[in-house]
Amino acid sequence: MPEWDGRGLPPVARARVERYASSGLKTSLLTVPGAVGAEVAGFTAVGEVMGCVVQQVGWTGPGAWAADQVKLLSGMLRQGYATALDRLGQEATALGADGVLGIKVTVTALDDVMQEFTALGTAVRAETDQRPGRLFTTELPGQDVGKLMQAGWVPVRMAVGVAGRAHFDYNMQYQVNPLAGNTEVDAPTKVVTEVRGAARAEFARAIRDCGADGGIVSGMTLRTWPVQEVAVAGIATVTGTAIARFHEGRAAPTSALKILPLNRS
Amino acid sequence: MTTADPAAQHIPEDAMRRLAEMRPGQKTSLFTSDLSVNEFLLVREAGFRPLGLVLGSSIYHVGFQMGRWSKNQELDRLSQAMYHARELAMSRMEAEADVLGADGIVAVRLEIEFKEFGSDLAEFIAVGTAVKADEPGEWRNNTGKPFTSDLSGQDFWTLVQAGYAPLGMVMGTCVYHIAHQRFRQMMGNIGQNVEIPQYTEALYDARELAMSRMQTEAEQLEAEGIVGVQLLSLPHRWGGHTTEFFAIGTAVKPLRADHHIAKPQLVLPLTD
Repeated sequence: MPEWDGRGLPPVARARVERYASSGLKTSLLTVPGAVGAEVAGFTAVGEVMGCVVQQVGWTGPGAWAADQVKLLSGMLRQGYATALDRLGQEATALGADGVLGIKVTVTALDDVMQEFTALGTAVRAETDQRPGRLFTTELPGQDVGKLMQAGWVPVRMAVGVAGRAHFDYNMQYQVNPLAGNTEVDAPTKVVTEVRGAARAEFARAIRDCGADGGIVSGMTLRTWPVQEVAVAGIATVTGTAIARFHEGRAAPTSALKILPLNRS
Repeated sequence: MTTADPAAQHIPEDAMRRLAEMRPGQKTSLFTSDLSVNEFLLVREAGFRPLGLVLGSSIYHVGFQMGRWSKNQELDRLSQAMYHARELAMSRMEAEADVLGADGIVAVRLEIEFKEFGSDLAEFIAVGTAVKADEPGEWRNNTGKPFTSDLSGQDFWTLVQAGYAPLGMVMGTCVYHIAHQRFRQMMGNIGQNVEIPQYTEALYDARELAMSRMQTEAEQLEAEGIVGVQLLSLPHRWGGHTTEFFAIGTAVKPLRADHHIAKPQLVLPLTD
């Protein structure tokens, strides 16, 4: 097998897509309720799809300033998500799908410098004559997609926002001293406020760039760490799904029946 | 299922057309929301539009205070810290919602996370979804701020259906030091089934303080009542005898005189 240059899909993934094309065997990662939900929305599963990438974190040197390190780490996180989702999309497109439901992205540290990004989802095809033109992707499971579509909203794409910041503040050591009393600590507060703000802004930008109407956030993570007692670094991630409205009028034409289960809990 | 409905047949068709007509960078009134799909749809149905995910955060150094070994007492400095830090996070979240022109914030989560920077350092964070009513109305509370509510989207829908409006999240906190038993008492109680009165009293006192403070906040908002109250005891990191008692709920006011909602249909789910 020729060596893969990192462009397009790896040879084994391409081989699997080709095998599907000849056999037509359908696979799915949807749960039973998820599959029913997808069916309600008018989709049938085509096949499970995956996008995967292993990346190495660059090295900024032992004396590197935390801001550079954070920039490098967040850049890698952003790129990892993008590459994994792009490869997942390539597989789905090759299967002739219209969209991918229930995407799960996991980030695993393989060792100190390597990280693996895996995106798994189920490619679906709409039972319509109209094609969406571009693949839609969502983290939402089939049930949620079914409910959204019934109410006049369609998922557009999975959106990710990543941001990293570091702040140096000489006063921090006095503010975290046991005798400092009740006080807000400025440097970390500034870092967490800024990283979350920037990650949310990037998330919103990703939604706006695809022309959607809004976004449903499904995950927000934040990692912070101290740098030698006088500085703080943080990385925030926001993931979710961009959605677009296709119903007209002010109220959604939802026909869902509201029930109040009278069971325990 | 509604798939038998002829209108429903067009749903995938219309949805796919919308995707095909999508143009990047179109001017839209973009929103973001932290709600789940169920919550999102119900909040829409209750007559509210989500405007944006809002959050406020404060990393706070909690001071130091020692309780007397054998005395039940509130550690007022710690109580103050918990109040102040939560207030900072909440007011920053409210400020973000204010900028968006929101009527209120729903599904607020108020969390505390101790940080790796130091043992006395915690992040206080408030996250919610700012919403605006489709029909203009008196949604803001008597302080002119957007209402806040820690109810889920589902509970929010039910509350509005029943003719109530949330006014604001109200809370009361009390960090309490519970006295240790005196040596004589401890020796005297060995092997016996007895009540330890000062423990009982301490837990009573602390909870009463937290609840009455929450009620005072609700009175200030001129609320009719408080719903969804949680009374938590949070040990945090202060050791066995110092605990935070924290009461939180949503103060509500009536929107109309009758508060009937349709009787729920009985269903027997085929799952447990």
